[in-house]
Amino acid sequence: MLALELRGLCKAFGGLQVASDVHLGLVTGARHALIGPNGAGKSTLVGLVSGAISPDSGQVLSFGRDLTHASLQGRVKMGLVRSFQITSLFPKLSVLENVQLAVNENTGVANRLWQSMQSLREQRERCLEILAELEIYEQADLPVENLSYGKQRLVEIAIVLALKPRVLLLDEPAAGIPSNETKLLLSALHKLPAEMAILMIEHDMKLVREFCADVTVLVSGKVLASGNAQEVMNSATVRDVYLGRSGHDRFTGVKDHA
Amino acid sequence: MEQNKLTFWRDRVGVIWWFMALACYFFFPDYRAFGASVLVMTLFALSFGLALGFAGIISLGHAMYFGIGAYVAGRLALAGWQEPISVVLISGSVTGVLAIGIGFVILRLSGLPLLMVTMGLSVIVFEAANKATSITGGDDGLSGISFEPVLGIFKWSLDGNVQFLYTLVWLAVVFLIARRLVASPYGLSMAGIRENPLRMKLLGAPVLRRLVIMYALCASLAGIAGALLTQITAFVGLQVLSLETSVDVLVMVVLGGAFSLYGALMGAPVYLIVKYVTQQWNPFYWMLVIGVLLMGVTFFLKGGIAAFLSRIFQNRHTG
Repeated sequence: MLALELRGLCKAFGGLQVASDVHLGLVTGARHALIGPNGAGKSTLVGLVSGAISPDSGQVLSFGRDLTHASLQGRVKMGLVRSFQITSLFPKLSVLENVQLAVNENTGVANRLWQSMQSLREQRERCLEILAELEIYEQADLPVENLSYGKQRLVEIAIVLALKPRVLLLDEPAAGIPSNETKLLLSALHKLPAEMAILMIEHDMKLVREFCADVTVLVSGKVLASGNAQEVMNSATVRDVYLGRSGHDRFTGVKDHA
Repeated sequence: MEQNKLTFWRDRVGVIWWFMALACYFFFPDYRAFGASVLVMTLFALSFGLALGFAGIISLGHAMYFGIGAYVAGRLALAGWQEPISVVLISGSVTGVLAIGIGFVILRLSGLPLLMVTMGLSVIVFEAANKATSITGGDDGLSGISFEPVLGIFKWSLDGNVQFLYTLVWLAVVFLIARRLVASPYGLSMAGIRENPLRMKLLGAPVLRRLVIMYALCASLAGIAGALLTQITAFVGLQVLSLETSVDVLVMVVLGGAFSLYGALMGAPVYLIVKYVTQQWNPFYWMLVIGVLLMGVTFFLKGGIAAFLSRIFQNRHTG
């Protein structure tokens, strides 16, 4: 059974077809990259899958369950979770509180009016575990707005992890991170549970090469190619349409920056 | 660690506050009746501060619940139900239930639109109360109200002894409840909704429902404050429903500091005492003093009086 399955998703904004007949399947434990030029409809697709945008036609399924008409919250409860391209955190709250919010929702204690946060030991420990794993334990008491951008991305991932996703949509996790902090991110990504199915939008070809086994190329809302990363990246059409010479070199590792 | 230190200093501010409130009772016996009304407004401000500071619900219509609570208590007393504590609880329940209905409609909005809608609603309620003279007494208000002694023992007195201590106990109880709420997972989720509602939705939180429950709790506390006002003044006038009352409570909370429970506790007495003293000094120019005070606090005391005090205490501690 597929962890995430998109069946013929279509969406048009006015006359602009941003997704047309998109099919995609992710098995359990998949590491799948979604790439494509600007305006290809990658973010729209994440919106369609996460429930922020409803499709004109087609279906979104997760482990055989049809989530096409499920609410944002409903999808999160089913284990379909997204991260944000532009860091979307709770800036004035501490790192710990940011993660606590997610853990409280996930463990169903967030509705309790008459219990102190201190007494939720189990939840607190889970938060600290996540922070330790992502190496932001030291910053637990700092307001998120005081962290570097790279560290903020790690908090974003910590929140997402706290929701125990079975399917994770990572929307450009490396966007805006200075190059000296990408290592932190990559090691965090490698620590994600192996059974989690991950769909990652990313422009950084180096990151895609190191992290993803499969690639789907999206152009003008259509799937241009999909499959094993090496094969897709080496295919002539993909090189012509999207990667160009320099992009291909970056993927194969000839050059890191072009 | 840092968090523990902060709560510790906040608590010290609290100890001083409650000590001073009691000191006022003993050192200013002539002002006990005035003091009781200040405590009622402090409770009202606390209910508004919870909505504004913790849930981010901005409103210019909070007096609606305060006023309805006051009228419910007045009508109950005139109908013969004069046991004071149950009257307060009934008034609070009525406004709470009312706010659940209203909240589900208006809390889909936020920011300025919400401000406008709450203001519009409270103006309508005010006008309705003005016209419905058979229920509210219109311009004349409800008079001839009396209540049984508190717990059947403490008789309401002309000098305001019982009134002062009775409202102080109510304020303390409500304050402890509020503090507990803020420190709960629910309280944290309110902070989350205030900071980033969309993200809260994507964490799986039922944002509207959470807001409505918080709003209803705050409205219920406002209703309690209104009922207490009826009990200590033995009168209900249209003023309790007025836009001016909503503005007053907003000013008190901003003056004290919206992001701390002590904000309401600082802001309401400072505002009312300054208002009282300057009105005595000069009945024509007192607004000038209030205006300067507001501007001064906004410009120089970021986060209001409460934040200023906790900074002072922290500096003394570290320095």
